[in-house]
Amino acid sequence: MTVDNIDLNTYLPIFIEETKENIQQISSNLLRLEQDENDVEAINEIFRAAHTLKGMSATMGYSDISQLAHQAENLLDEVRNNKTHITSTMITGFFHIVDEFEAQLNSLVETGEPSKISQERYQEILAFFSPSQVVAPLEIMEKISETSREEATEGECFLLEIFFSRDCQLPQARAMIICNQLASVGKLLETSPSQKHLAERDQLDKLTCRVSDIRPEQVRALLEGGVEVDYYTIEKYNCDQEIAPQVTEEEGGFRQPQDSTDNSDSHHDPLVLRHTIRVDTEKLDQLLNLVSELVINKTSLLQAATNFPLLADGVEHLHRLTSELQVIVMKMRMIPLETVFNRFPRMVRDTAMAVDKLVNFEIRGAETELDRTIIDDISDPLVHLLRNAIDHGIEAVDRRVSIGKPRTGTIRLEAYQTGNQVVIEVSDDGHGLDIEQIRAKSREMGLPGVDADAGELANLIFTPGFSTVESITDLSGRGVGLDVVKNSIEALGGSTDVYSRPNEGTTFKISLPLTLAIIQGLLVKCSEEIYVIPLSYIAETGIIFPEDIQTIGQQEIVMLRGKVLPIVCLNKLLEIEGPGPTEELSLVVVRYGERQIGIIVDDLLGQQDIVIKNVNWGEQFFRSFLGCSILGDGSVVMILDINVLLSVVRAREVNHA
Amino acid sequence: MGLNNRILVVDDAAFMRMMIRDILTKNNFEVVGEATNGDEAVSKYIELKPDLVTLDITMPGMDGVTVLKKIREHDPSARVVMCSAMGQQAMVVEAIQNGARDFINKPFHPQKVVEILRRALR
Repeated sequence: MTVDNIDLNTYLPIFIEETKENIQQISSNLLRLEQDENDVEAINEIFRAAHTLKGMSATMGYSDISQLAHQAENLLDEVRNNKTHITSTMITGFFHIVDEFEAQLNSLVETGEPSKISQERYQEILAFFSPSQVVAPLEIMEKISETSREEATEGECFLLEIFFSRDCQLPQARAMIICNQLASVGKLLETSPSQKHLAERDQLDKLTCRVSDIRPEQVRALLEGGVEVDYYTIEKYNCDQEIAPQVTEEEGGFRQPQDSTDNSDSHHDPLVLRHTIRVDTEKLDQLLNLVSELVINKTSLLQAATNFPLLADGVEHLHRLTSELQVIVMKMRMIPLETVFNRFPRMVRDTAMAVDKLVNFEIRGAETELDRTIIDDISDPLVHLLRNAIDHGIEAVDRRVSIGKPRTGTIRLEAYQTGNQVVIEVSDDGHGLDIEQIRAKSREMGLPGVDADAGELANLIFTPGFSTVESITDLSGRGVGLDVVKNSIEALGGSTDVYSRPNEGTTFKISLPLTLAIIQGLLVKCSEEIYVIPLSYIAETGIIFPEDIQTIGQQEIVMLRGKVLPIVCLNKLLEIEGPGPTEELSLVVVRYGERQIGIIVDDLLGQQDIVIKNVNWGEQFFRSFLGCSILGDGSVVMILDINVLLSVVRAREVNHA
Repeated sequence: MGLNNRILVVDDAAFMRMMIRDILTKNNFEVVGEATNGDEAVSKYIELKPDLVTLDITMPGMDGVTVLKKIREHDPSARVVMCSAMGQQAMVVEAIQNGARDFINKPFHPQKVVEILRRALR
């Protein structure tokens, strides 16, 4: 029956997503456990995640996954009950289990089916644990929940709040069934609404119960795996204390339990609260598209309204509402970097072990948010930089000791927001770049900046082909394919920088735009055409006069507040005809990594919201543009890709050098 | 699933019986019998001693709730899951008050049916 498969498939995306989360949970808590083998909270978290994984995969019929999760759960239970202690071998074993979960999940994503875990692999994993810890595989998953874990102690009460999902048919009937089931397993003390009233209810989204003589596992077994229950919370409290003496028949008739008398309760189940909904990302994209259209129309209305004072108020209001809507849509698309960063501790650990180095990995600012389209593509470059930092940045232990550094190297991954950019830094306290080697290499390759300062030289490691030369890789120990990193970051509208100090370490700095869809842009005029420069690149704008321009070598420059600012004409950059000499020139100063450069345009027209429409012509010329946009009057303008344009400038410098 | 997976399917519509049978056999349940009305359901229950009965609420003659009562009169530990359609809330509630283990709503979602039956069989 095909219906069966279709139905399973509707659960699949959620299953995959939640399984990922649970695997991540296990993985990060294993790392915690590795630091402190007595971290009870970490053990509990892993146990919980393994348990959820077991339940979900069993529901989906993925017996191999659930079997493995079952093992993990049991092993941890032994630990929880002090029957065995965590050893590093066990942790490695757990990591193998995590690997296997991931392999299964990958196979599931790719083929729609988890792969079979071979008996050899299974044994290989179990070999990390002592035979006495390993439990026999269970034929019937359903029975697992009944295997006795801890005896319910007399007088142990739980307050249970069950929230029914919107899809739940006849929640009041469902609530009655749950009451019956709870009563059959333990003692059902009270419910709200009362059982008597349940039957009369038309609608119900929450059931609150007090139960005793029951184990949380049994409650979980009853409530999990079904689609009717959205989520539930379970709290333990001492029922000798009359906590809810008078239960009223009204909604939520229970007072919150006060656990002041129960501070010693160590395995207090934290609330499983989720104030989020899952939305198909496609819908978010559609919403963004619609809002983008709205922004375009708003802009055209704003322009039109300047001629009709009567419209002004209404249009102004529309303008404000649209802006707010835009902000909200943008926020909805933001995901914390955590989702990417989470994977790294494990990777760093494994890489460090593989090259036999001691690395302490710190993550800061994981809560920093970025547009999901950017998040998706940021992982690979970061992996690259982290691997480099471990492999080439951090010195071997004896080397570190011999030069008086701590044995353990530190790698820090830090994210923070500045203005409408997000900066991600990967820094290590290793030996830094060998600037002299880079200088020698750049001379050999005929690159400019032989006289450049260390900062500029360091950035040469992003040059394509620079790093593939073996001597550099070995001696300076850096830069395997860093141009790839640079390219992927620039494709996201970001920029890369590197700072290094001999023997103190290296910092890679990635700057990314907050979002790719709607940006603030400066409209500029050049040879009768209008172009957009993203505001995030602009340091300042101003007016200069032709006589201000001086020439140093081949490079035109102006002095701006006592500093040399290289300048370039936009029409020359775009290789189009420029206007004749004018009395004054409009100058846009753009940031280019740590450098600044002035772009001369015919006129500055003002700034506004720009909706980026992607252009995929692939031609060399069009690569100078991030995309195009439609202005309020319907005209199409091109958005300049400053990174690409300025790499053209740099390439010319090279040729002239 | 072990041994307790013998199911008696009670429904007056052949289509529904076929559908339930398909869903169940696909998922390793054993459909030990089918009944098309209340009287037949009660006699087949006594004859076959199934682990679980799926029982349609609306049937000509004896309705599902009455059948439920009769079956549980004979065997108080009988596991019965009601099959209901939209708008039969009162009947479902009455059935649960009279000892039905659970209910499934038409149209059936196979996974959900399986999930509910497995739970009811625990």
